[in-house]
Amino acid sequence: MYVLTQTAEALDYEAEREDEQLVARICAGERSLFTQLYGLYYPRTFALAFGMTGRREQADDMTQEIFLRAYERLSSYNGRSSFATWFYRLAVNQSLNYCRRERRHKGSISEAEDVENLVGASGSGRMEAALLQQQVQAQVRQALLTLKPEMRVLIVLKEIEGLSYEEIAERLDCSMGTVASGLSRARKMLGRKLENLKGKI
Amino acid sequence: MMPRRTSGWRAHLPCVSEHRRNLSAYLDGELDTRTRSGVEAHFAKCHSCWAEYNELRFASRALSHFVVPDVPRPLWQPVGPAARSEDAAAIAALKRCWAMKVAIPAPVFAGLLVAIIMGAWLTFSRSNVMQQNVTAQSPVAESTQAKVVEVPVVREVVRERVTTRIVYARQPRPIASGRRRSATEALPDSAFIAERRPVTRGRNTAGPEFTSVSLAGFRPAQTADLRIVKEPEQ
Repeated sequence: MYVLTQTAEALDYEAEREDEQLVARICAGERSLFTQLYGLYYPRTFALAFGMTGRREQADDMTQEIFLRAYERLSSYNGRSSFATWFYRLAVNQSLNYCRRERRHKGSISEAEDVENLVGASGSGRMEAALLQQQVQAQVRQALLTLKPEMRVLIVLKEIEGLSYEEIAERLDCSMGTVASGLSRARKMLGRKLENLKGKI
Repeated sequence: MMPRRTSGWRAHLPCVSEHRRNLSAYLDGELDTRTRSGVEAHFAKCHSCWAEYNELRFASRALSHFVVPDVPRPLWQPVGPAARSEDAAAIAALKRCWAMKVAIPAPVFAGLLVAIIMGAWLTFSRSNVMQQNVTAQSPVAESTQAKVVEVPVVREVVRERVTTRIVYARQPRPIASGRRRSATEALPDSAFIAERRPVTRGRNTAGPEFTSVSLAGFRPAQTADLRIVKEPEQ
């Protein structure tokens, strides 16, 4: 177990060094290399954006905004923390700003995109199960969107991105105690909003 | 691991144990072994904390149904920031230009000033003009300061026809009494007006002698009944 942990840490360190070298080359003028960073960080950034907005179009919009911001401010990265920490902190701040700016997230989620996913399911039994699953997903997303952005981001980072309290605290620039208490409050609120799902899931 | 059910009034009291703060961390496996054992031991005797833990666990389980769609990654086109930075630089340069600080506000302020003056003038002139035209005999007398007209008025009740002399003074309306007198100084005397023929023709009609006299720029200053003619009973 110890060996595995050491290996994972070594790999992380290696990845961080590669990222930093990449950033240094981009800042030196090889701007086209940003495509590589974009490819590396896109999946987690999109997951954050989708968790915060609940809609694909807006998640795309937010993701692009985050990468544009990172591209513009890349020269301000000073290497005090790892690039991943710097980038995800910027991403979280950008997503919070986006959510505060866009108040229209409060509207109900369009089910059109959910129906698209149902087309693939065939047979009445599978169709019903898929429909039920889609309804649960839509309710969970809707309940998540009713939370304040500050609470929502905690849930997204913990439950969707699967980060530890320490990583969340690092990204939000707060203490682990704040993360724990905020997460507890957010979960309780979410639980109350999803009362009707008790027994179904 | 079901806790022993607390009975009676104690079941309704909120738990004040320090373990209550650790429920979320316990759920996420963020506690060390000692604290974790403490929370588990606490569950055995506190129904309230056990219930809250289950609520947190339910929310966490519900969130496992949140699925992030697997979407194709759009291409990265860093044209946005370059264009945006150029625009920002152009706007900043424009803001720095001292001429822009004057060129934009000056016409706006000038326009506002003109609008205010026009509005004030219109309001003032409208308040003084009671009517622009009046049906009357063509001006009996006229000067730059005033117009004297004869206006036919029919009093229906007593069936009589009255010709009223109205002196319209030039605007603006004088406020001081001295100025009012000076506005009517150039008027002809009443003897001149008295010589005019009385208007007796027709009933409730102005008669052919009367036309529309423009009174724009004048206001009524004096009014006096000039001649009264009783109409025959019908």
